[in-house]
Amino acid sequence: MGKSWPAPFAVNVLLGIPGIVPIWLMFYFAVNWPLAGLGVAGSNPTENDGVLPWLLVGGPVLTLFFLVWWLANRPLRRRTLLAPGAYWLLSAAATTLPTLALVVIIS
Amino acid sequence: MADELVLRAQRFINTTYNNGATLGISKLAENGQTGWPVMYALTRALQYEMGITALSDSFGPTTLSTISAKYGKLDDTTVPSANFCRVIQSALYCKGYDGGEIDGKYNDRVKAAVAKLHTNMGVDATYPGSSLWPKTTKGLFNMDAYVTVNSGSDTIRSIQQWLNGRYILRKDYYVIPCDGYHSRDVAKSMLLAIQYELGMADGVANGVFGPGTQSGLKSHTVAVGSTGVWAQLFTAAMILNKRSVPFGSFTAGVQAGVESFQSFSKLDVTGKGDFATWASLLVSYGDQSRKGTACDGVTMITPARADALKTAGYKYVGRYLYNPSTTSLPEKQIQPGELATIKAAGLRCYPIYQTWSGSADYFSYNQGTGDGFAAIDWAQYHGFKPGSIIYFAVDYDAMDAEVTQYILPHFRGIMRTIGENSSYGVGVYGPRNICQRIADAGYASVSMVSDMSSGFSGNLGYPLPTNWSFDQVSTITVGSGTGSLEIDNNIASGRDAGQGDFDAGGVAEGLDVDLDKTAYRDVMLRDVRSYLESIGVPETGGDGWTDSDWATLGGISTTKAFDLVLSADWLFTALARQLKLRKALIQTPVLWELRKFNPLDIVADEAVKAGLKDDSSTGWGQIFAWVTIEARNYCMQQGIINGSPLADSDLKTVWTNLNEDETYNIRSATYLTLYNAHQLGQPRPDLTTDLFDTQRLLARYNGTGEDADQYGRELMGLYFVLENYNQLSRSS
Repeated sequence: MGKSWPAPFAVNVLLGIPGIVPIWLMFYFAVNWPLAGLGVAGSNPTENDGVLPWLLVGGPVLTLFFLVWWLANRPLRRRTLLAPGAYWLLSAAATTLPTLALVVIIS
Repeated sequence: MADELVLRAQRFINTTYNNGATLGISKLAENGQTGWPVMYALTRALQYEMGITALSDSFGPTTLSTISAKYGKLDDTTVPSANFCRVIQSALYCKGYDGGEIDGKYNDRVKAAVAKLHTNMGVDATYPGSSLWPKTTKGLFNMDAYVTVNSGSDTIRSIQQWLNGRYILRKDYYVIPCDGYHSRDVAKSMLLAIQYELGMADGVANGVFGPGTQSGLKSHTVAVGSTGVWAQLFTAAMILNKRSVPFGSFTAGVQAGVESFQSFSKLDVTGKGDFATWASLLVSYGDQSRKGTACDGVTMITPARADALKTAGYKYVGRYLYNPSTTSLPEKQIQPGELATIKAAGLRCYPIYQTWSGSADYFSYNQGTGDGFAAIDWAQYHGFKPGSIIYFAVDYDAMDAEVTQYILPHFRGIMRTIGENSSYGVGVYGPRNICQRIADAGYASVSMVSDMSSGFSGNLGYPLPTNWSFDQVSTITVGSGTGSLEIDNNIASGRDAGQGDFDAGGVAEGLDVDLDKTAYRDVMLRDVRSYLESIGVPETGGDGWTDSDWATLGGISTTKAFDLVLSADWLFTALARQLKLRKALIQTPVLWELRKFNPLDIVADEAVKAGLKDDSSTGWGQIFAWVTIEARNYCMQQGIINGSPLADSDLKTVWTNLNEDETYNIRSATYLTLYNAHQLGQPRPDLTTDLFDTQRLLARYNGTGEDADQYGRELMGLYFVLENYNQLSRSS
C-alpha cells in the first residue's frame, strides 16, 4: 500500500455510491442477455424489446461514469507506490463496495 | 398577431384610466390583440367620458340614448372632449380602421375612416358624411366585422349590407355583421325585416316567428315574376340557407333553386316561395302544421297506440335503447314485447341511445367508446338486426369549440366501436351544425335533427344537414283514450327506413358485468398485492438482489396498476360481453404488464418515435404492432370484428395507436388473445374455457418457450384473484 492509499480508497468508495446505477445496469444486461443466452440466469419474460433500449441508456451512463472514474483516479494513482495493475484493481473493488453493501441490506 | 395600432389603443386606455381602475376593470394586456376585453374597456371609457356613472361592458340602451340625447351624432362639432375622441379613435383602430393617431381630434383621417365604416355597414345612403350616429357607434364598439372574414360569401355580405341600409332607422333594428356569414343576428334581422314589410310597428316587430308573422307570410307567396322587396327577402333567405340563387327578383333560375330546396327539405315541390318554404328558410322548425311520417317518444307503443300512429299516417317510430333512471320516464326504454307490437302493426322502429348528453363534460373519446359498446349490447338485447342505425344524442346547445374539443372525439369513439365491433350504423341526434360537423368528420351516416330548438346557436343560421334522416318539427298528441300518446312529430327524408323485423334478442347467461367497486375494490387489491408478493413481486421494485424488476422501482406500483385496470373496467367488461369471454383473461396480462413497466420500455418507445426501431412492445398491454396487425387481421377474417385488412405499411400507424390510445391497446390485447387461441390450436376462448387452456393463453400472450411458460404460471394466480371478484360481481 502506498502512504496515500486512504485518499484513493475514500474517493472510490464515494464514486461507488452513484456507481450503483452503472453497476446495476451492467448486471441487468448480463442477466437478460449473455447469461440468459447461456442458460445460466433466467431472463425477465417482460424484457422483450431487444438490447437497443439498454444500449441507449446504459451506453451513455456507463461511458460517462467510467470517464469520471478514470479522470478521478489518474492523478491519485500517480501519488501511490502501488503498481498500476494493482491500483486499478483495488480501486475498482472499492467502487463496488457501496453496491455490495446494498446487496447485503436487500438480502 | 400583434397589431401596433391596437397596442396604442390598449396603452391609451391604461395610461388615461389609471390602468383600468377608473373604469372598474383590471389593466388591459398590452399585446396588440383586439378582443372583447378591449371593446368592453372602450365601451366603459365612452360611458365614463359621457358622464355615465354606472359603467358596464354592455353598449346598451342607456349608452345609446345618452349619445342621442347629449350629442345627436358624433363628429368634430359635437365630440365633447379630446379623450372622448381618443376613445372613438382607439375603437376605430381596434376595428381595423384608421384612428388618426389617437390625437384627440376628429381629424380628416377619422372622418374618412367613419365614412368607410358606414359604407362597409351598408348604411352610407342613410348616414352620408362622416359623423358617427348612435347605432353605428354601437356597431363600432363590438367584435362584429363589416368586411368578409375567413372566406365568407360576398353575396351574403351584400344581403347583410342591404338589410342594414334598409332598416337601420327602425327602432329595434341594430347594425348586423357584414362578414359574409349567416348567424343568429342575421336570422333575427331577417324576421324583423319581414315584420316591418308586413307593416308591424316599432315595438311590435320583435324578430320572433310568431302567429302574426306566420299569417302575414301566408299571403306573401312569391313566384316567377315576383320583384321588389318580397322577392329580395325571399332570395336573401335562400342564399342564407346556402342555396345558390341570385339576390333580387324571382327568376326561373330562382324557381329551379327553390324546387331543389323543397325537394331536399321534403316540402311540397311547388317552385314557389309559399308559406312552408318561407318557414323552412327562416326558422329551424319550419311550418309546424306539417304532419311527418316519423315520430319519437318516451312512452311504450301498445297495440292501441300503434293503431293511432298508423291512422295518423306515421310509419317510423324512434325509441330509446336504454334508460338508466329507475324513477324518471319509466317507459322511455323499449319495453318487453314492444318491438313485436311495432312489427305487427307494420310500423318500423329506429333506435336512439341516450343516457345523459346534456353538457360538454359528458362527452369524450372514452365515453363515446363506452356508449358505443353499451348501445351494441342493448340493441342486440332488444333484437335489432345488423344494419340498424343507432342514433347517439347531443342534447344541448353545444358551442363550436366544445364540438371540436369534446363532441367530435366522442363520436370518433362511437364510430370506431360501432364500426369495429358490430354490424350497426351510427346516426347523430342534435342541432344542425353539430350534425353536419359530425357527418363531415365521417362519424355518422345520418342525422336526426333537433329542429324544435330554434333558438339554439347550433340551429340558428345553419341549413339542414346534408344527410338528414329525421327532422323534429313539433310536439303533438295523436290518438285518443288508450291510444293517445304524445310524440315528437318528425319529417322523414327516406335516408333511414328503420327496422320492421327483429331478432329474438335477449342476453346470454353468465356474461361479465362491471365490477362492484364499492364492495370489492379494497379487498381485491389486498388479494392482488398478497399474491404478487408471494411470487416475489412487491408493491414496487424487485425482491432480492438478483431481481431485474428493481428497474420498476418508483414506476407503476401494484396499487397503481390495479387502479388503472379498474379505471378501464367498463372497457374490459364491454369487450368480454361482446366477445363472450372472461374479462379476467384480458385484465390479467394488462395488469401484469403495467406493473412490470420500467424505464427501458419508455426508451424503447422513444427509439421507435425517433426512427431507431420500427416496433416495440408498447402501451398498457405492452403489445407489438406487428402482432397486433396479425391478430386484428385474423379477427377480421373470422368475422369477429370489422375493418380493412392491415398491411406491413400500417405498422407505424398501428404502433402509434397502441402507444397513445389505451382503448385501442386493450382492444388489441383482446383480439390478440383470440388470435393466440388460434395459434395454439385450441378453441376460441369463451365462458367455458378451462384452466389449462386459460394458462396456455396467458403464456402465449408473452410468446413461446420457457420464459413464456413461467409467465403463464405466474399470471394464472393473478387470474384466479381477478376472476374471483368478477364472479362475485356477476352473482350480486
